[in-house]
Amino acid sequence: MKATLTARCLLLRRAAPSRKCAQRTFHLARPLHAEPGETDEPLKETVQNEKQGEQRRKGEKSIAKTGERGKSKQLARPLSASIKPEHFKAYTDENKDILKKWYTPAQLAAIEAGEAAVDPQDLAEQATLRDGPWAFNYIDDFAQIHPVIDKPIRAPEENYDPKLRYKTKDEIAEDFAKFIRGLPEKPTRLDYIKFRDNLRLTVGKEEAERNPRNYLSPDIPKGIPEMKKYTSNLKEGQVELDPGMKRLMRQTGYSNSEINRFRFKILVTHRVVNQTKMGKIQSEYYLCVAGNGRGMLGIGEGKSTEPMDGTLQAQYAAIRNMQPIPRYEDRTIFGNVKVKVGAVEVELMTRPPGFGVRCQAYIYEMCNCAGIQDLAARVTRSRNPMNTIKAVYQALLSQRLPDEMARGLGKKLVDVRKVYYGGNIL
Amino acid sequence: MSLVHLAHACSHLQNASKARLGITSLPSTTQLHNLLLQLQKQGYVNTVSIGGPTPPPPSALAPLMSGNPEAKREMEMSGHVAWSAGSSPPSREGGGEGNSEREERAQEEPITRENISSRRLWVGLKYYNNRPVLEKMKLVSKPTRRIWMRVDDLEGIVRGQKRGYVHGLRGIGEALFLSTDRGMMEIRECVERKIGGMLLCRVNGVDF
Repeated sequence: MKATLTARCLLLRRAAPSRKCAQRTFHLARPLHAEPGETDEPLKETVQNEKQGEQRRKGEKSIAKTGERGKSKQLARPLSASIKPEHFKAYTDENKDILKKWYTPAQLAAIEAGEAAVDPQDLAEQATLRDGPWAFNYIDDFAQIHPVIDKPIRAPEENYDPKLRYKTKDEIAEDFAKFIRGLPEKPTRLDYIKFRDNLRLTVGKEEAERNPRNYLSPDIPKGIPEMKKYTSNLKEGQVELDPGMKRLMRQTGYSNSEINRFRFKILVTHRVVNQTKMGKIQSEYYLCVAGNGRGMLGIGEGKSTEPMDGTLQAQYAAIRNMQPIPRYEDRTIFGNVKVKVGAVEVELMTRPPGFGVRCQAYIYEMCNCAGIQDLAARVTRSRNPMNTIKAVYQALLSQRLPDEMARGLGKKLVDVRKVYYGGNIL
Repeated sequence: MSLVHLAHACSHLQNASKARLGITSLPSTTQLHNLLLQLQKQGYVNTVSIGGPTPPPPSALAPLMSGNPEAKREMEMSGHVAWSAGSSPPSREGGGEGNSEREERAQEEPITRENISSRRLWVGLKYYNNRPVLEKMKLVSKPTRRIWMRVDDLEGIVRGQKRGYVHGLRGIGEALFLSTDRGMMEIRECVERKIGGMLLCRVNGVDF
């Protein structure tokens, strides 16, 4: 399982060289075979230390200790460079004397047979770190299983007992009675703790209670720096943004507060039906306009079986479609415009200051969003709301600008307002 | 003076600009030639030149280059003549000004009785910011209903007011061309010179 993970890392590295795959530096690493610092001395001499350490090994602390020591040293110097066949020397008589203290003669014979069977050359070659394309880029103890990275270890399925049931009051009382009857002459607190910990609350298979099968995935461990970026770093009182909004912010570059300040209006809502083999599927259609009130305007459409979803779709689409609209003196349009969409014919007419937006509701709302204050409009032929809105949007965008037109004609254009109003124009 | 030909020319120029053509041709008539020169004067088209059935060489299309001897030779060989709007209006209908100049040019013109029927007006179209400068062109007077106006009405139209069935100039870059007894003119020039006339066509009007 470790190898597959590494292979996945390799594939990832090949597919996206710039992307870094997760380094397993957080995993407790232990020396593989020997510590590089000690391999300079003959290996057999280290056996002595090991034997002395065996007493300590009863307490499990020593493992962790050597582990930490090994980690720091191994990371500093690669193992493969330092191990040579000369390091694996045969046991001296002194060594054998020490070994006798700990092993039976049969065990000693087995050790010697093993020593004879393994060639020091093989040991030196195989006890090294791999190199080449399948080399690991981290040092790890592959004997240990990490519950997150490796396959989660779960209790076997046989641990499930369908007949498992809780003990009745009487049965628990019986257990207590048994415990008290079996107490030694001088009972200690430890006896009670042992009883409490071992007391079973159910009747049935013991494993089903002690080590039940759990189908949930293990928790994400805390304190791992690599995992930090995947968890949210929201402050107190901050609301989590929905993914659509996050995407919108990424696409448009607007911040959340900017988007909140935009003006929205759902102008058209109606139900649409899709006839399928299974029957009619009804959903809601929404057309929304959005603007910042300062010359940006966009329209967006959304459709969903969920009303809230459709509304949001339309809103986000409208924000995404926002485009700057030319405004004369930031209040009206440049010249009259006529646009036809479908059967809707819209004429927008520029008006003097203080005229107001005197037109139908849809156009009024669009002007409100775009920040147009003086406008008259005429919608002839059809007045379909959807097409009216689209036509107005198109009309606002298709305005010709005097400056642009003058450049096109090759004429010189002078803004006389700059003379009349002493340059005090917008 | 046919308004039908004018109507066809309007449609053709609209279509050519929609197709983003760089150069196109119209039948060579005096009326169209005068109209094109007015359009060139107002800046709606780049170049106007009389040529044969094939497009003129680039040198003939650039009036500024006509001083270039090489370009001149090229033009002579191909038989194209470029007119710049400022230099000489070769109007046959009004024709008070620049008659001598026209005659001089006419000597250069290799327009003969044999080739006159195959002459065409070659027009260079203009585009700015990915949009045609001459986008729309439409008749005001119709073949069945011609409209004449005096100066006072023309003034109203220039200011954007409606006069009769004629809408005022309310678009950006809008122009209206008239046929007067002093030749073809833009409406603002008419107002300036206090000349009335027949409204011919409207360029870049507020329309679909």
